[in-house]
Amino acid sequence: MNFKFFNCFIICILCSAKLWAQLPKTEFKGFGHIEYSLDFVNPQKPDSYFILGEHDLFVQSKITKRFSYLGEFVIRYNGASATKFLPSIERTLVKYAYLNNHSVIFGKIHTPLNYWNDSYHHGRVFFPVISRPIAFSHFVPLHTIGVQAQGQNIGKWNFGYDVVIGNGIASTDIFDSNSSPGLAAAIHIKPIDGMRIGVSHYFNRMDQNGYGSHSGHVIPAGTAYRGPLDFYLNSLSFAYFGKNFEILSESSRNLTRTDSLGFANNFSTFLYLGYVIKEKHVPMVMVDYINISKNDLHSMPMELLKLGLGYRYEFSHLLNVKGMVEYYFQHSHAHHGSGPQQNYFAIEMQLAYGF
Amino acid sequence: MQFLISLFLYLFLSNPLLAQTEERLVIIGNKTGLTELTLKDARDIFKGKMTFWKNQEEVIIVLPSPKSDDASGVAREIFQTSVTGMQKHWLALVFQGRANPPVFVQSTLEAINYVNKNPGAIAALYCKSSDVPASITIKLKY
Repeated sequence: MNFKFFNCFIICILCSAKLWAQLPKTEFKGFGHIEYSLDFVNPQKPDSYFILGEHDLFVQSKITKRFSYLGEFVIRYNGASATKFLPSIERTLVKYAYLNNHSVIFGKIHTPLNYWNDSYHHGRVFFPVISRPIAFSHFVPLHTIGVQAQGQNIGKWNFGYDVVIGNGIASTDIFDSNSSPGLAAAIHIKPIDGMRIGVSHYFNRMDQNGYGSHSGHVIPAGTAYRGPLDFYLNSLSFAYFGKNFEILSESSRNLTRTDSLGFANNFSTFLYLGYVIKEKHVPMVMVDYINISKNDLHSMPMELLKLGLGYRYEFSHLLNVKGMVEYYFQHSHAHHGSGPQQNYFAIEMQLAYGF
Repeated sequence: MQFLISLFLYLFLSNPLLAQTEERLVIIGNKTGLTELTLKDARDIFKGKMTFWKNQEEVIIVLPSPKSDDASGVAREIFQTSVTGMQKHWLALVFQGRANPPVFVQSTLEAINYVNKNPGAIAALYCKSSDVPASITIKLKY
């Protein structure tokens, strides 16, 4: 009896091993970060605190020769949750490579609107500085769910394109009440290794202005406009990550149009410069500016300039520490409308890791 | 005298036996449709710029793992950086969703076995050319 049981057990193990060998090749990685901040928003009583940052489970799987899967699942602090943390699906997509370097992607993606949003996603270990550009919290549509046509490394200039039709800014992960989808188109070239130059355009006609779950936009408190609104965003980015120098510059011009107030002109620009010493030490400077017009009804009017001076130390490709001294010139605050000008400085440190 | 020294150096350096015993960048592949390759094309392929070969086999990149003896030579010759730089390049590419991850192998022998078993696989090694079978070697043109 025992011998029969043992035989069955061996056969089961062998069968499961064969099945296991046929399973798609799947890789898991994780990313996370912890920060320390000392800010002088109130110069009489500076705030000093540690921050537990986003923790990101990254999954990549080759399903067949032409199909692959990518997922990014993030757990982050959320004060409204009973546990103070909430999970979210930041990317989940199936990619079909139908021809050399040409693919179709279905799922939830990061919109390919500039270099940052298309490259760094939620892995802080990839970020050259501590925080995302300010515009990400105000008018850059971060995600969408839909269909994307993608091409890359085409021809001598390594031309690439991305065209996306997906749910608009006001949508959630399961519903979009607006009849018009969001449209994004981006092209780039990579003339030399480490360099990428790109332009992009985004358009979304909203029957009802909203903020959904894809925008990450600061919602104007108590004054949310719910009428029709056309949202345009044009972006230009230049990135060069070479052996000695790193440059990332991206600018966006955002237009919103409403029947009542016409066009509102918004603008943002971000510049990062780093000097790489022996692959490990990177002293850096950063300029980040945003200006949102007073007649804008989607984003809260504001003008903010952030200057940063910092240093990054790379322990390995999966571990780095960054320190920055930042100064904020705040002409009107996003949360308090056109309130009084308030300038302050902050010191931030970040330990970013992958595992 | 100068002529004799030059002749000696030429004969010595061009000796095929010597080339086989020197460690150098060696590319091997299986059903890639390639018999020879320029260094520039090799760099493009190993940096993930190709998805399929002309015969529609999938490009499977095989690279030495960081602990392998081949790693620093391959990183220097192909990626023109350190082993960390090579890993960083691929981690970013996979994270961006722009490529499937490469296969990392511990040794030259493991690379040969993997390439032999997987059509479309191409491996970069830093070893003696006599260490790899000539039947799967892709000639590198400098």
